Amino acid sequence: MIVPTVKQTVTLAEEDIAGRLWLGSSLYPSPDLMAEAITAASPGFVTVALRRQTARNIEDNGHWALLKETTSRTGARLLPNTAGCFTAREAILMATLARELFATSWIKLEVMGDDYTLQPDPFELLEAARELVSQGFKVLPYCTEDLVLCQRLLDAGCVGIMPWGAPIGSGCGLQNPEGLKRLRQRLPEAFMVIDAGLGKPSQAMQAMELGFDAVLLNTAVAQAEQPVAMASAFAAAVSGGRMAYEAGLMTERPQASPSTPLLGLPFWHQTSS
Amino acid sequence: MKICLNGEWLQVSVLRLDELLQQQGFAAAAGNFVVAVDQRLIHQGQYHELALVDGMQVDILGAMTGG
Repeated sequence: MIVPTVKQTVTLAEEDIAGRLWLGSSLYPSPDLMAEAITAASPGFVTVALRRQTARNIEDNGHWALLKETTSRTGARLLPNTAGCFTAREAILMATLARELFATSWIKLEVMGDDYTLQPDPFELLEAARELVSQGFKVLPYCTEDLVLCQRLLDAGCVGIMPWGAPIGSGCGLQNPEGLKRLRQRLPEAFMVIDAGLGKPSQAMQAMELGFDAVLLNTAVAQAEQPVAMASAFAAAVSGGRMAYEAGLMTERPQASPSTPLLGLPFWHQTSS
Repeated sequence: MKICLNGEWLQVSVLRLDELLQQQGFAAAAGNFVVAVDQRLIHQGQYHELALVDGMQVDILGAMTGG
């Protein structure tokens, strides 16, 4: 029996990334559930952040200790973010501190422009991306599906781009599937990750079927009634979506087309023209 | 001298950054935090060289979960 498989490892910036599902580490009911969910998803990256802390906070940081152990065991890489930054200057400082703390040049670059929708600020984002690339960072910017912005970010040297599916934490799925489809078609060589807004495994599968290289999500798993089971569900959906993309989806058509041959029927129908 | 530590003003008698970290209990957590002074990263090897100045902004950050 031929068992269909899909290659889970993906190469980005000349490094092997262990999976196409990338997971956030926030909002889990407990550190143990976070670790179990990461283990179940076997993600390529796990996102982390940094904030002001007291000495006591740092010494008692069991979450971080468990996260380090789990990512090390599963082969997931850490992807620090610059969440909460609203200017290029803030994001550059945060990325610089993150590289020192987490000992990685990977950075999920977030520069927000609107605190209600958490929509990225394209101008500050591009400025920060240019500077961080010049400093040797491997920049993955969280952006919108705007084609020109995405092209500029790639021109600036970003190793990939991460257009949103929908606003962070909304769970609305791909709100502009046609725009994302066009983006994929116009930038066929770019490494693209759908980041944010995915609420269901079917939405992750839709992104993968469109040919996106990976998906990044947090809330949909962390806030599920059973995060570990949901992590597995997303992993299966991402794998299935990628498999379908590689298999080649049929072309949609507006009219019906019978799959059973009409030739040889024992009666004759007059067809309308 | 007054410095702003993690957003809160503090009267300090120590003169260098390494002394401040020691006084605030960070010595045991070495390697698990990073320091920014006036919005610039200070590498661990520079802590003992950095003289505190009145009005300086010192931020100490550690890892946390993120999305």
